[in-house]
Amino acid sequence: MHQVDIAIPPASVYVGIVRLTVASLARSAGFDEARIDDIRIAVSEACTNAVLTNEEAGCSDPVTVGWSEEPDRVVVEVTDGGGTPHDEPPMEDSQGFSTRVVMSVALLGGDGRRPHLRPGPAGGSTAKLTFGPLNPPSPQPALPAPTHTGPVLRGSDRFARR
Amino acid sequence: MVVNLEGVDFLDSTGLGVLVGALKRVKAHDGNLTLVCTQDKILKIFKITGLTKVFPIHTSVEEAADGAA
Repeated sequence: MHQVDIAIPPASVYVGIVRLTVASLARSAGFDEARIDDIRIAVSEACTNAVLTNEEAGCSDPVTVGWSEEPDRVVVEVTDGGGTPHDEPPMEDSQGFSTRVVMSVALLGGDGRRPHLRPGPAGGSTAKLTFGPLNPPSPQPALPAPTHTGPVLRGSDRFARR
Repeated sequence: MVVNLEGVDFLDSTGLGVLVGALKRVKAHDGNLTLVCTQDKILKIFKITGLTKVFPIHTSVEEAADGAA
C-alpha cells in the first residue's frame, strides 16, 4: 500500500499542482485515461472547496491531500482547516457561485461515486473519495491453434537427435 | 454570444459557474450564449452536471453562429 501526502497553501493557484500530481499518481496506479480524468476532476473539486472553505473562515492552514493506494482501490482524502461540513452554501452572487456549489457536488459524485464528508482533525472537514476497482489487466490473447501436423518433438527427442 | 471551448484542457465547477453567470447576464439582455465543444472529456463535464440541457453545444463556431442567429 502506497501513501502520498500533499499539503498546499489555501489558494486556488496551487490546486493545479494537485491536479498534475494526482493525474500522475493515477497513471502510475494503472487507471486508464478516462478514469484519470475523472479522478483529476473530483480531487480538484474537493481541493477547490477546501481552499474556498479556508478562505471564508480566514484560515491560513494548508489544505492536505492524502492519496492511499490499497490492493483494489485508491482512497483520496482532502482536508481543510476551517468551517464545518454543515455550513450553509454561500449566497448566489452575480457570477453564479451558488451554482458552482451545485456543479461541484455533481462533479464530486461523478461516475456513481459517493463522496463522504466528515469533521476534520483541526476543526475543518475531510472529503473522502474512493476510486476503484483498479482496471483489471487485459486478458492475454489466445494462442493460435497449432497448424503443424508433423510429429511432435519432445525435449528428450530433440536431444536424442543431436 | 459564442464561447469556443476547443482550446480548453480542463473545466471544473468554477469555470461552469462563470459560464452560467455569463448565460444569466446575456439572457437578461435578451441574448443567447452557445458553446463550441467536441472534446469528450469536456462534454462529459456538461453531461454530469446536466448543463447540456442549459447550453446549446455545437461542433464548430460557424454552426454555433448559425444556430445563435
